[in-house]
Amino acid sequence: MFLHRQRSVQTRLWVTAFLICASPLSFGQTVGTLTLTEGRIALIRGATAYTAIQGVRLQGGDILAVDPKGQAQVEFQDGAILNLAQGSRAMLLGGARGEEEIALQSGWAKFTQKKSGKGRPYRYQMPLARLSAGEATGVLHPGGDFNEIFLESGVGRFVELAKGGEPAGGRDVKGGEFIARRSGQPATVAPRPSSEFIKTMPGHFRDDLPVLIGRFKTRKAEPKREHEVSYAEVETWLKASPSIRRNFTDRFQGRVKDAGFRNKLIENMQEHPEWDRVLFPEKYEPKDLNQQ
Amino acid sequence: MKLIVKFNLVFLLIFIIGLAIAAYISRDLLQRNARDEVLQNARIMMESALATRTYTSNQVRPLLETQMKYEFRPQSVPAFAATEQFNDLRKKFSDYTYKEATLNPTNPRDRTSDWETEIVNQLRQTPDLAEIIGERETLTGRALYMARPIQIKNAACLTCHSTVEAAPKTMIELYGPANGFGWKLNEVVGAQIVSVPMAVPVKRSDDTFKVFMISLTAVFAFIFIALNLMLHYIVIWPVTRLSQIADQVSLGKLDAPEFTSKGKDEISILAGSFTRMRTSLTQAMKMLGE
Repeated sequence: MFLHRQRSVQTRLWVTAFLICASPLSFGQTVGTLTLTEGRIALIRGATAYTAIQGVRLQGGDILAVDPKGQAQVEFQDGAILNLAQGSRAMLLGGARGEEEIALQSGWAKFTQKKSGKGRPYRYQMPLARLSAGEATGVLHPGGDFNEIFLESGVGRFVELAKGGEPAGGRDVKGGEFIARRSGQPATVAPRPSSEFIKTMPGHFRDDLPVLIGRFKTRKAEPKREHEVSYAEVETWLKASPSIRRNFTDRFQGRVKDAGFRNKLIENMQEHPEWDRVLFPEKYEPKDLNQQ
Repeated sequence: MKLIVKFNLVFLLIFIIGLAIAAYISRDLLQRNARDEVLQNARIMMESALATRTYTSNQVRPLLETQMKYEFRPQSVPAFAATEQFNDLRKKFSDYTYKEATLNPTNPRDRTSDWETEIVNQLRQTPDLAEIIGERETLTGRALYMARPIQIKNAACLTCHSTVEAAPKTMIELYGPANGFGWKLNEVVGAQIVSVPMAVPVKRSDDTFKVFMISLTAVFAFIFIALNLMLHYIVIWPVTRLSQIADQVSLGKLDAPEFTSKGKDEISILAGSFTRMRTSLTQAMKMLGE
């Protein structure tokens, strides 16, 4: 029985490893380039914090954090563009599920994917909602207890997310529509963005995002290594929905050795219970049946 | 009546007639030139406005399309751009005006006034009429206006001016749903009207006319004096002197001084003939005495 369970676990591990490696945009593979930066752009790759500059090639799994007054523009290999501004935090999850997935925690983001991109649809995941869109342009505002989406053009699929990240209803969205979702309330749809949305939106989002990738065809930059990440730097990600933090136990396992990181994990265990198995593996070891 | 008086009377008559003709022709010419100058200014203003419209339509509007999804940008409207550019010009040339006078405008400031309505209706009723030129009195004086029809020739214009439903929502937010709709393709909806003051060119024309007439009069006066002097010294004085000598000779004073005149003109010939006649008479009188 014990051997059967051991083989079962091993098989699952092999399958998981295979799926991760087989994903076209697995962690470590270049997915885009940072073509525009203003202010300091923090990059977390693996479990290490870097400072990123224009020309840095981004990989699946990279986490970006933009200054409150800064901006960062990512141009993907299929021509899609993502501009992050005003304290935005984003994670490039990759395309394991048929869509390029990007998680957004705060700030503002504008995306555009033109017809000539020939890329797959993009899924933008925020705490309370997600939007899947192909050839479209839109603005996303993942606030503290609200998420707002304005689709400038194109069509998309909007899905409300319950606590825990489970889908709780969805609808199609077309260009010109504005959707707002507040915590605990259903989403509302309006034919125009609210005046508050327009007023607080970064000014440069009112224009088309510039295409700058041509400048970086032969120009490449390396991010500057800073330090191993602290708990505070990845806290919001560690507490994100399970679909976003699905690889984090592997990714940040090395940080468990840091006492501060470990203690914080323990302190906030209820937010990310999967770490209990990592911190206290002895609790999950299969009991010897012979001893029973 | 003395010769010089007769001469001067004829000369003055000719001068007055000549001056009158010159005044009539020059005044008409100068006034036409002034009007042409004003008209040329108006044409330049009109073409400048049209160029602004084209530039806005071709180059500015495409750049603002995304912004228009958030907030309507009137700077993307050719009529707005032309009017604003002209309003800036008016800060230095306040007597010049440009208006895209429209019967049913989106922007209330473009609505036609009474006289503009007449012009627009005239253009609507006469589709072949390319422009109307006229003059009118304004608070600052006489002005020349040039009006050209605003005709909807591009179906793209109807995006904002056909129905409320078709128009950009941001535009409705700014201007409301009541104005500027119901336009049709090929309809004359208004007129571009440029108004140019005539005061400056007309004043310049009048000043030039005065200077010209004063100069002409001065020239005539100079000629008058010169001719009088010439007449006196070349004709009148020699003839008077000959007359005096003839009187003396006729009274028997054969020793009266001779009259000499150099040259070969008619007075010299007359003087020569008189001297020969006097010599013959003196000899004849001597022969009689003997």
